[in-house]
Amino acid sequence: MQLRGREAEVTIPSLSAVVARIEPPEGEWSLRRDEAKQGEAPRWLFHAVFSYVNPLLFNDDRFTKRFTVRISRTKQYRLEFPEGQMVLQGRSLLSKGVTLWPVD
Amino acid sequence: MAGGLKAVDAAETAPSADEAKDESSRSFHIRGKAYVLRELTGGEYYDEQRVAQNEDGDIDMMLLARLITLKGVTCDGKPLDPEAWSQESFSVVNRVQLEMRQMHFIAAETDEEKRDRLKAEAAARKGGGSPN
Repeated sequence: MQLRGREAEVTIPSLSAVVARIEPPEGEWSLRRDEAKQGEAPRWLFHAVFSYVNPLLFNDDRFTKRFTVRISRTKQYRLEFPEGQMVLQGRSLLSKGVTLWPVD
Repeated sequence: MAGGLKAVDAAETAPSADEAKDESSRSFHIRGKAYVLRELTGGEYYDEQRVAQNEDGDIDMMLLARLITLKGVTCDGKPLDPEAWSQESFSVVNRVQLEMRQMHFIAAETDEEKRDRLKAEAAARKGGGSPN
């Protein structure tokens, strides 16, 4: 199973700052179902190409980030990354073991 | 001889080590918590300014104020925790940030200006009016 989209945002709630954004035309993200252990929340392989990213804030461990992807006009999910899995390479991000949580 | 006179002037206007330390930090209490504010160095300030650049390359001054506050302030001897600080009452946050902005965005007074200001203030106190 795979999900794809062209809208997402990474914020630092404690600073009220947007530190990365995915939007058309150059931005995109994809989620692919990964192996999950019995009884655990499904894990996903996440790939993103950001339209904008502030790498200094994105990589600053002092701040907790909130990563949301828009699946459809009405549906958004918050992504949770395992420790050390939110590492930028230029404008790209490739992470394993990501979990998804619906945003109300 | 002129060089000697300059040396005397400089010595007279130079602040003591204690005075210089007082000017580079501020401390006060708000609601029972002890805040200590430290002036950032030029390098530290420009690092935070770089972090506060938005996607258009402009400096987000609100974000910069938050970043320099997190960098230069301790509360009860500990660095501010970003999450906990975001839960603090805005009036407290606002006061601390106001002090940080004053420390960093108002150009430092030269020793000569300070000396003249203190003289003028002393004369005003003595005369009860303008020193001029």
